[in-house]
Amino acid sequence: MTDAPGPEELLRPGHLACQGCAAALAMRYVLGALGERTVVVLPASCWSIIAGPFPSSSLAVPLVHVPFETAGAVASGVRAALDVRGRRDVEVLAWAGDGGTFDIGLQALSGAAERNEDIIYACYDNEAYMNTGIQRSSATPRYAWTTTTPATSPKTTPKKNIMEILAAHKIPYCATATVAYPQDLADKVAKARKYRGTKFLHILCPCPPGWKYEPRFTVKLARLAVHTKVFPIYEITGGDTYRINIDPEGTPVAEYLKLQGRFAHLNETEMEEMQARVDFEWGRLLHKSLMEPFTRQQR
Amino acid sequence: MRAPAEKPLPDLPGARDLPQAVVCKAQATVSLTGTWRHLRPEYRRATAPCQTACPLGNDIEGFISRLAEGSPIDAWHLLVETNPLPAVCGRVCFKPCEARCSRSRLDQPLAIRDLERVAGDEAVAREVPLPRLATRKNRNVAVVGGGPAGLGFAYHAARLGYLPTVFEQNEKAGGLLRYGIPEYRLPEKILDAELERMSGCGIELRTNKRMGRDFSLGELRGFAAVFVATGLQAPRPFHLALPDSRRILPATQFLAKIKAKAPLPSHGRIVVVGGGSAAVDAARSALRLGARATIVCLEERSQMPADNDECREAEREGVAIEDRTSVLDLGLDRSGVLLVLGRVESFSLSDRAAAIRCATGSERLLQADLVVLATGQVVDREPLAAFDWAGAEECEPTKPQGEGPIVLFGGDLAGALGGKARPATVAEALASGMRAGRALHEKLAAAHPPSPPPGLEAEAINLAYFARSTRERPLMLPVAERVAGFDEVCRGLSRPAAQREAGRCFHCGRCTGCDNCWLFCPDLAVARSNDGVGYQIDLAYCKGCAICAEECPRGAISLVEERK
Amino acid sequence: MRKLLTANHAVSHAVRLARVEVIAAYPITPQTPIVEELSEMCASGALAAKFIKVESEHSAMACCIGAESAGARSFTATSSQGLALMHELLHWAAGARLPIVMAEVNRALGPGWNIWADQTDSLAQRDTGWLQFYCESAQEVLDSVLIAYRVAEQASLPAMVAYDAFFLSHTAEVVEVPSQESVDRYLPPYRPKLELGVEAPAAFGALTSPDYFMEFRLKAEQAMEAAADMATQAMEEFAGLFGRRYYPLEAYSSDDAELILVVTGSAASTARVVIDRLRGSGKRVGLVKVKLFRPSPKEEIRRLLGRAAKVAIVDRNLSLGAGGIVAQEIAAALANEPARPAIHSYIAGLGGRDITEETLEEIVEDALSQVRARPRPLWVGVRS
Repeated sequence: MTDAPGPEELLRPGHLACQGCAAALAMRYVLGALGERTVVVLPASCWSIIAGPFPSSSLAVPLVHVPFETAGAVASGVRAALDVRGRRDVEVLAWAGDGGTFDIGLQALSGAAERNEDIIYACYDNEAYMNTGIQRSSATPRYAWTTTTPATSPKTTPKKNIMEILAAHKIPYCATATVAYPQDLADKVAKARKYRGTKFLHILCPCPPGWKYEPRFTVKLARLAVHTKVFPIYEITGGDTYRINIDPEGTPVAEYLKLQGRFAHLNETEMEEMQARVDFEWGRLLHKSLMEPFTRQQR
Repeated sequence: MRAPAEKPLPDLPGARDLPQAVVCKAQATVSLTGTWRHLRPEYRRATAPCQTACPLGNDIEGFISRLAEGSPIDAWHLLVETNPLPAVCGRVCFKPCEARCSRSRLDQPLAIRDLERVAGDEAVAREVPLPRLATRKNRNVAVVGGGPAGLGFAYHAARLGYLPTVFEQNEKAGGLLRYGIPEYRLPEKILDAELERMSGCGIELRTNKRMGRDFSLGELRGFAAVFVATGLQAPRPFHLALPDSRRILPATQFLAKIKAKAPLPSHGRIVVVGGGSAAVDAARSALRLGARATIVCLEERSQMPADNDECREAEREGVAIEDRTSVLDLGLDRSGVLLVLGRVESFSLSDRAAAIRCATGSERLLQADLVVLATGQVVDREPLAAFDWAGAEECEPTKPQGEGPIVLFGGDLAGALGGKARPATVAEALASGMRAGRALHEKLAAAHPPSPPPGLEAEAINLAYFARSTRERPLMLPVAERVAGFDEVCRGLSRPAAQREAGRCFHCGRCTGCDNCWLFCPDLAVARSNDGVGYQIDLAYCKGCAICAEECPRGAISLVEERK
Repeated sequence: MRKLLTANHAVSHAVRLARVEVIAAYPITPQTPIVEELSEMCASGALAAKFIKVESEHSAMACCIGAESAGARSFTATSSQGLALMHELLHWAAGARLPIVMAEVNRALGPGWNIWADQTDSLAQRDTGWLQFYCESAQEVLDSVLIAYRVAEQASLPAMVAYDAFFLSHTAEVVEVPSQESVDRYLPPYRPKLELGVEAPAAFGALTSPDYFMEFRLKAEQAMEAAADMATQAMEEFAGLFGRRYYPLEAYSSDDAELILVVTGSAASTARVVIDRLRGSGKRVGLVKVKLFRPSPKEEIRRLLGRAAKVAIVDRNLSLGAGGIVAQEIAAALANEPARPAIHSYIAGLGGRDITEETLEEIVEDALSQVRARPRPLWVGVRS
């Protein structure tokens, strides 16, 4: 575990992330695993602030800020330029929030994935529009409070399954990760680098102000998300071969929910329903992980 | 290009000095985010719950670390800073430490007692002497009673530079350890080895000296201080009138007779009355004499005061336990003792009286060749009568007699003399002596020993970082071989098992350099120290999110409110 | 080499000759033949570019922003709805000072669906910070793409080359396609002034506070102003190398003109015929063709139009509620002139309606007959 952020820190102290920001941690881990020969493409998100206002930059790698919906496309363009200019060894990392990935940036991401652009696209998912002040996104879980889904009328639709969307593009590699397991994340970044084509990392990043919890619980919540099976840690290669990387302990979902103010309005019935849904989804995932992968012989 | 400004423009570069577009030099530090902080993380040393639970305050985490490193003698050196008898305690301690071991929240507590024994036995086997002690102050102190409390006092007094003389009524020192605990639990050679080692550090032992018989407290005038720890010498009065018979014995006498190899029934049935440690010791000893053994106790089996492991082993060996049972009457007949037993509905015990209610019609008979009463000990006031104990407090130096020495008391005697009643265990007795020794030194030398770091809060342990593991079990003599004699039953942990077991320690309250604080800092404010030990927090950038403290597996980081 | 080319294919050849490195484009009528031809060129190896076949015009421009940031000469082409979809990114490309070049086939914006010529699409993007060149022939389109790269890269600003749908995009003409060697002399390899690369890591386009924002906008505006002279110079050099002369504002028979007709795009060729005919009948009329719309060639407007009594401006575009965009620009440029011509504004040819010789003659006759300019533009060739 001690090797996760890499030999050299590419994120500097003094950045403008909130106290206990998982998105800052996630960047630290991912860049640590990628190294300094990386170009970051950064659409509008919390990270537009964290990276620092002119004339500062909290990163030691080149970084281009881009409009909200363009991460997949700008990353494609950067990749193309690096390729035609003979810089194949430089990685392109698109680094977008859930809004920039699940919602406004989904088209550009889908385009890049379908073209199988040789990029790593990392979505740091804090499950709402946090930078604009906690508005619901399609990554917001069912029943969560946000400023646009008040507790009296919480979100009724489920969190979009972005992994399935990306897997449906049959890209070489999709993986989930959280900041609670830095080595898993670093390993996945290293694995992603070995594939040519679009690699998608879905990193759950608890957000203290947005989820309403004390900053100290960031890693704890990330861990609970995994062990309650709310956010399973798995990878999909070739769009069809599923592998679960961390065996969840099966902690009751309520333990995860109860730490977060955004679920404070939930009653027992709703919690039980969430548990049942989580169990159901986990069963589906488990089933997929047990399926034989596609082989040429099957034709 | 621009009209005169009404307000002065900020003192920043003008357009001609700026780059063509908004481009920032990489890794320019952004802000001194330390100003956001309300909580400041600080590395700290906290006392592990096991150590807090240990009457002696043994540095359990410390000695286990050394065992894990494969250095049992280093571990032993740490133990003997508080406990002169690790090999003894490693066998007979009630192990309150294990009850508080943080690992029990995950799987099973560490086998701390077994590990202590590994260190103790290694030192005995290698005949490692106790460390030479600091400068002598050449002040003589007397110790009345050579049991664990007296020995504990003598040891710590000696460590603090005094010259202790121990007055022991018996032929040999050790008290209960020697005469009360059977050989199969505590081999005499182990006790002898550890006691002999103690005499090597300046403790003078005078045996066959009973206070009130061979000397009086007044004769100890030449000593700077006297520590009285004569223990509980008299059996607690039984709730029934007892016929005078050699077939009815208090447990202390029964066990002492076995030690002295005095003749005892070697067949038939021995009934032991009582549910404590002495009762189980007596019953298991009875088996080893060749008798059948039955324990009759008031408590339910699971509530017996004796150590549960001991009870379980006793049953495995063949001891019958008649729990929730009271002796309603007993009388002698031709072949032995006839007991009338009743089924207990409720009971309450005090020093003076027992209130026991039995179910009517539950009476039954039990025939015994010998009845052993293990119903507790009380203080024998006679040797103490010459001293005015008013105002004396346990382990508190008191000077009630004009020019006389400072007098302290401790051990099991403490509760009987109005001090704090503690469990009558070896560790408590040793600790009582240690406290008295330190208190004396505080008074005489005005030396205040450093207080240990604060105890670790249970919730400070983060179980997520510990994998489940199975507790190592010590080697045990096969049951069939046990009852043939008094060979030691528990053979301890093997060296590899001990090392594995030591590896299970959480190291509560001590930074082990696991890197979690560094790894999980979103603000890169934690750096490994240049000297390779521990970490430093850059308070210029630390925002005080407290993830480091939360994710510290062992509570080695505390949070301090920032004062603005 | 002379070839029979539509303006669209002329663009493809210009892109090849400019040695563009990254192309990102999305199909839209009437632009599509450009990228079809470029796909063939890339496939055959005639052009060593990476062609990203994106899922929208929005992503096309985003790809160009990424590629250009990372130092590659980039190109896209679009039209109408596609250009409108790019709008946000047009601002971004200019603000980031990225010299992307785009071919923009002028087509009406719906609804109703209309794929025919109308310049509202590009003129509506006049405030985004892009250089805008309008063309009247396939030859001018090819040449303008090369000129646009030259000026854009010098000024660090993006440029679009606009031309009318079908009248130019799908009409084949004889075009002189210059040699690669001569183009290489005119257009050196792209050397980005700022480059997103690992050698000198930097953050591009970061959050910019009120303390800095205006200074950066001022720099961009200064660059735009400087680009007007750069364009003139680039056109002169082009003439020196290739023998074809272009001007930001091209005057035709206008020296002594009492009335000057102002047109943009393909209508210019028609206008020349009309002017010649009217001159033949003794009318003192002239023509000014607007080629460079951004940066606004204000000096040229004042120089070429300031002395005429009347200016008749034909707008193949409409700013709803404000009238013709070119007319507004010219009126604004002349506003502070002590003696300025009357501005007669005409809306014509929207959504592909033909601007014929008769249309233009009608406009000239109308302007000559009016004692004063009307308060609103006159819609020509419309059923009221």
